[in-house]
Amino acid sequence: MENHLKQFREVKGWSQGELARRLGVSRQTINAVETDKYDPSLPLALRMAKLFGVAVPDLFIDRWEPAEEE
Amino acid sequence: MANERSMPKWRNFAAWSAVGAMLYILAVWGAIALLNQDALGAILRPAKATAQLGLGLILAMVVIGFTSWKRPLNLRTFRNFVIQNVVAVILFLLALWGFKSFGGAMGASEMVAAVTGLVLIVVAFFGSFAVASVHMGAHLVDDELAADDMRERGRLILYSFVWMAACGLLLIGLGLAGPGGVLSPAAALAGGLVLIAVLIVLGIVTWRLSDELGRTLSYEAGNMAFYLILMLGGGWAMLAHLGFVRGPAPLDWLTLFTVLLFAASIIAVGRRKLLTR
Repeated sequence: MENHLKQFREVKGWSQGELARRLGVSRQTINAVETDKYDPSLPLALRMAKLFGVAVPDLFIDRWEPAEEE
Repeated sequence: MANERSMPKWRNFAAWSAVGAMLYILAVWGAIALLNQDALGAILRPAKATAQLGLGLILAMVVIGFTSWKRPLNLRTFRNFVIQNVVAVILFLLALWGFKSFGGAMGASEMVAAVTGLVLIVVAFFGSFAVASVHMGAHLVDDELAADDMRERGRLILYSFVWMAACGLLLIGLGLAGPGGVLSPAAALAGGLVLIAVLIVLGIVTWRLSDELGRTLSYEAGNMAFYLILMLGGGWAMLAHLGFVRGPAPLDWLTLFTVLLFAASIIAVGRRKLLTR
């Protein structure tokens, strides 16, 4: 899933390791999320959003649209 | 632009393939020499063996070329490659010679189990060596990000390699305890139970040290391993039941479980493109 994690992290001036430390995960996990290789769990996505002071949809881009009802 | 970017990688691929070819030739020569055979005759006379060795050479070149093509071939990377691979090959050949000389009458299943265990132990040894070298400040790991991971998650990676080595040791012990083997079944059982206890404890510890990505990969590897075992083990059992091939021995099943578990782990990590940066 596309996301803006890297942009938000860079605005804060944090390295991947620093963000990983704050979230209690490995740097590999942060790298995998930033490069769209791994979608985080809902609790981790919520923690990320809380850390940057934004809503989850501001951080993760979901292009799915509900089908229009006839 | 595309050419400017891809050219050095292809040059790296060619250079590392050549290094791989030299290593393979030295390894094959060493293996034949250890078995006390006429090396040139063993390579050239039976056409089938020559073809197999030729395919092995191509495979070695492709594998080493593809796994190394992102790093340039220079004195430092070459030194690290030589330290890791030549020592690994020498250790592997020495252990193989040990099995042949002192392992008693080992059947095909026992030999395959012991060699599989040996491969796991050699890989685990070098993985642990790489982790230790990073912590001691020796520059034996070329990839800086991989070195950072080893610094940050050294304990988890080290325990994973110990787990791998324990699996290897278990297979070797069982391989040496077959009919005519040097280990008595009682001794192998006692050793096996100790190793299984170690595997359980290490499994729990590594699970606790893993974060959610590690646990997700573990789940995915478990699922993948189940289907691989069902497909390959089931296929083998089906063919054996129908009389087309020899049925798998109990030790074959254990070797198959172990190999497919590690293969599934690599596939699970590879599917997420986590094997490449």
